[in-house]
Amino acid sequence: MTHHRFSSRQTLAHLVLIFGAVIVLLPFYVMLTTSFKSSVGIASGTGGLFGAQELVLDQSCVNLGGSEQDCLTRPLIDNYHQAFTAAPLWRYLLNGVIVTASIFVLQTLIAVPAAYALAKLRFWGRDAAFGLVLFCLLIPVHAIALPLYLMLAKLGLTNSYAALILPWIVSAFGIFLMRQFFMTVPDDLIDAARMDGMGEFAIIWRVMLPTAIPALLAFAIFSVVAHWNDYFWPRIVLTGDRNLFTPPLGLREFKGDLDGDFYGPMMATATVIVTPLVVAFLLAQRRFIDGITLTGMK
Amino acid sequence: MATVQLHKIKKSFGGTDVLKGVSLDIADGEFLSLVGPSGCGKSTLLRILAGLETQSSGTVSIGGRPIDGLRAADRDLAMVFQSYALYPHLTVAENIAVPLTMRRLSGAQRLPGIGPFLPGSRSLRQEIATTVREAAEMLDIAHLLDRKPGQLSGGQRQRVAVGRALVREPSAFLLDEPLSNLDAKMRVHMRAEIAQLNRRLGATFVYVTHDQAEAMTMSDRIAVMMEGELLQVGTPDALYDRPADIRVAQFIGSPAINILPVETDDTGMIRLYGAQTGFRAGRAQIEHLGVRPEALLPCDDNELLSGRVRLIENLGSDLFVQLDVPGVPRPVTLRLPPSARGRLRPGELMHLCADRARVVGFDASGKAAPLLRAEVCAHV
Repeated sequence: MTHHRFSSRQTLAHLVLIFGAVIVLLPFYVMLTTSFKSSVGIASGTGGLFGAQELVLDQSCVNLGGSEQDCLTRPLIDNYHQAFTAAPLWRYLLNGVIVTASIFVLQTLIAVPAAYALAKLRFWGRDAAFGLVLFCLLIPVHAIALPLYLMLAKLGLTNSYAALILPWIVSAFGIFLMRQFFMTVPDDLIDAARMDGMGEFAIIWRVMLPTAIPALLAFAIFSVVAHWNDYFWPRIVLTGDRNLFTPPLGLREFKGDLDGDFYGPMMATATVIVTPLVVAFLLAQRRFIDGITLTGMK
Repeated sequence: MATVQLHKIKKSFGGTDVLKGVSLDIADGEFLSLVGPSGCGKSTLLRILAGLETQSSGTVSIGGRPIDGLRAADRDLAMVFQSYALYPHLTVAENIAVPLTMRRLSGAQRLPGIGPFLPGSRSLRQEIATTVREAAEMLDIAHLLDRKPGQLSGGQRQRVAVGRALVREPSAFLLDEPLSNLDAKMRVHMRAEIAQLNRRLGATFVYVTHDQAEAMTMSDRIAVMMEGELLQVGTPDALYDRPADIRVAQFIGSPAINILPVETDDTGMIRLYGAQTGFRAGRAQIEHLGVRPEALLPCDDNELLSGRVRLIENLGSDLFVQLDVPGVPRPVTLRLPPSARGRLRPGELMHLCADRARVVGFDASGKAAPLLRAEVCAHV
């Protein structure tokens, strides 16, 4: 029989964790509830999670000549309708997919062979090279943003997918994470592959990569989350062409400087943007934790 | 199938010489064991032969052709590893097929997705599947072909590793302590299977082990290595009966050979703590005598040595008796038939004589040196 006795330590630990969870979840709650409410509801802060859902007038519908009767709609529908119509949100989402997928694929193509060399090949200067990788982990993006922008501008690559993708294809974090995982792969496995007739690249793609799937998934989540949510870099290199906008830039559509901000549609957009990430993380959660704890080979 | 020659192979890691000029000729179809204590360089030698390691100097030839510049993949050798080294993400069938797909299919035909639809790919893949099935049937693992290595026992993984080595019919098999991760019973069983495989395939086997029993039971010839040097290469019988070096004598055989510290007097007579042994030194001064436990016999009087019974080990088929002999640092072991059981008591005094033909002498450097019978001279 186990007795669940009151433990002040456990209780305190849980209180701290609950406090942390509230701090993390509160902005999500605000985002969600704001996306459900009319501007009156948002300003007055009434109506609970879903808001009162009183009928509001769809201004764009009226502008197109609809009668007031036809143009009355619920705030929830109005916000999400505006999110997809006021800005080409589908286009932005597609750009987001193109950019994050390209970055991840290219990062993998570079990080996996580099990590294999750093973990398993013996060559002069290997430890120094790995030291440089660790050093690169310490450099903040913002410190090198300006030189990067200038180089892209000189090459005439600003306002292009290349500007969004190229600066990120070498990931020090990816190389580091994969290298740590490859260190745990037994040398015999690589020697066996050599005896079986594989060259070094065949070993990388046919032996190392399949055994490293959990680590790669963990890296995928880090990479995709970082670049899907990135507002800073696209804002710098995309100065004109709205067809290249990534989802976070879509939020700017509802920043109506003079008229005040349209928080309802803006938060609806934000909700649409984060949903794919939340779903993907929930699906990959178990593999993700496997990958971070590096227990793939057992 | 081919001969294997190692010529003056040297290898140093940093400042340490791991191999100090090893030369070895292995005949076509021979089962040769490289045996020695851990750290003696036997695995390094095998890895140099395989092409996984580069020698500091010396040449490796297979079938008379030097192969020093060739990658491991191009040497046409197959290797079985101690840890089996199976690909964890592939099924048993895919594991066994890897050496064949890597060699028989072109790069494009191996590509996932489109590879299987390229011309010629289909029939080649069927050929490979047939070969894999034949190998699996021969090794009794045909029912496991769809499993992943993680779902297999140690013995089954071992068979898959052997299967992967034998499908491509290499010119020689290299086995690096393949049985050391198995339990005792399985080890004895696989020992017999691997020796049979060698006879059935008629291929050259180079087998690395630290277990002298494995080497003795399986090999045509054994090469004993210590500290980066070959001490002796010969048949199991030759190594057991006529060891060339005291370290070989001590390494081969279980229970170990009895080493008796002796001295050679001015007349050349060999004495064991003052007492005559009945042997005379040939050319060199003899410092140690080696006698196998079964070459010692109980006698009525003290012909070679006497001691008190310390321990009696009954193995059923044999009786090993350990004696404390004054002046000999380690207990002397002798082997008796089980029928002698009743007559022995711990603490009892026993006199021993030796089968004279089976006593070996070693000089100060530990090398075997000739012994002469002393009777003739003793009466002069």
